Amino acid sequence: MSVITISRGSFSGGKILAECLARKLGYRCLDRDVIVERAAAYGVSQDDLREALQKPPGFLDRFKHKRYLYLALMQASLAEEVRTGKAIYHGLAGHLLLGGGQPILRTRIVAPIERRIEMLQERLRYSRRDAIAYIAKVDEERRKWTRFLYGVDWEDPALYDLVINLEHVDIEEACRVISSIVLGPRFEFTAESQRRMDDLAIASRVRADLAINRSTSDLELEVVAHDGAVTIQGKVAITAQIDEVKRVASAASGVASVNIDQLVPPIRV
Amino acid sequence: MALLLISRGSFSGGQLISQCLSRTAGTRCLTREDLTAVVNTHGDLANQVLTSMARAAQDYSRLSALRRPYKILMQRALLEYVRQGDVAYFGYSGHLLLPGIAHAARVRILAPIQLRIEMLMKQGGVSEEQARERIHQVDEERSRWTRFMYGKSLKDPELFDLCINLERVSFPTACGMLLSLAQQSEFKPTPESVAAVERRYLCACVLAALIDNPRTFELEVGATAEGGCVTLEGPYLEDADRAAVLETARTVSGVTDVQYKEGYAPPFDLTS
Repeated sequence: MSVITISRGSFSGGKILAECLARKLGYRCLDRDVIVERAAAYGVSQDDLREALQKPPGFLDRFKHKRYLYLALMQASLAEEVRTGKAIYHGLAGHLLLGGGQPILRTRIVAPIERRIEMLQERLRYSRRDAIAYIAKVDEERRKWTRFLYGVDWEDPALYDLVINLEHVDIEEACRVISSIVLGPRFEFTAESQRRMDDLAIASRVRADLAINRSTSDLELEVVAHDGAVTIQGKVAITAQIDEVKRVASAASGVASVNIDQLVPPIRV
Repeated sequence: MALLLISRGSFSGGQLISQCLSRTAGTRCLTREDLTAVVNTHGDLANQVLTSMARAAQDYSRLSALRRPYKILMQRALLEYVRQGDVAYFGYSGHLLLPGIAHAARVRILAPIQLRIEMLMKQGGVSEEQARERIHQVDEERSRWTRFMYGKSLKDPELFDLCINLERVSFPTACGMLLSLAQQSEFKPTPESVAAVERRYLCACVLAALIDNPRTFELEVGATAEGGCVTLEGPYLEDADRAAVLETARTVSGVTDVQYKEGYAPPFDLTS
């Protein structure tokens, strides 16, 4: 009853694998669009959310705050969707959005470039040249995106529990290998797993609420939760925001208490 | 004749996986030391290559000249084992040593740094700080080795069929996955892939014989084989050198006919 994230290059067969796992395990299959739709319920444009997940930040963009907001909303939506387990997410950076240490099986699949080109040509009717250019562009954008936001190389196998190359292993076999692991004892969805997933969902929800709330939307804060007790760290711009942070966080569902001792007020000169 | 080529970080649990494979499926598990022992039984030159490799570590050009003979001798040593039965090779860049064998499964085993430190502390009686430093140093050496020997990055997942991270996947599960992978139709030896192993072995023996002969040692010659007929391909050679090459190749057991062609000598990795 665990959660599986599948990271993959574009047109690498991630969707087919996710569907196979969903059939085999009886899990829900989630893609980026499901998460975007849910995040858009906070009142932001779906196109902006997609762009935030897709395009690497440009030089000027790095100084903008919007991306933080979109990612906070996406993270909250994804955490909420997978909170009760039995879910497969095949979209960009699921393993990073959900963070480490959770009862999540982080997988990545890689496929030989020729197969990806074929798949893309078949689906989008691109010429070979355009298909190669498209794949190279999207891969590069994703590489830059994860490097900038998380400081990691998305291809690094150490970020995943399992990396399967589809050059010689077919999707059915990959599906069998992944499902056998997720059904093993290490990925059993215990009461402790549920508690951790609930805490992740609560912390992400608080972070999203703070990011969308007008009086705290300029802040970039770290939020963690343990058994519903929320701790918030970071800097506020004006002292009045400290109370506002506490008020917004306390109102989020599932929050038992809020600790803001580590919120840093502005320095007075 | 299943073949697993396994690359792993130092102290990443390779030994435990190897024990499990031997116990469960009777797979013969080999390390780099096993292969160098075989290489060392083939006369003085093999010894010289290995000794010089260590001595020349700081001298790129000398080391570079030894790269080809080293790879040929190591490949021949591994092929000798592969012909005999199921093998799992845990060596420096094991996944790259023997490319082009259709039934070889290339695997990388990863483990989180904390687990590796604990394993080394338990095994080597060293402090946490010493263990961390040692692991970092060995990783760095292996990464440099792979780049130098094969021009590849150890971290590139496209070079493996499967990467297993032991952070949350247990040793028995990882072992079971490897055994199951070797049983898949894609990695089961076929008459064609077994014949390819035999061809590769014959080519490796011929090239090793050329390395063993001081007169032909430096010639960059490639080899392909069909049955016992070996075709050598390389640069233009004076008559005396060409005769020495052909004569040396003919002495190799299993060779029934040899011819030499002038042309591009394919890298040994690509010969079959």
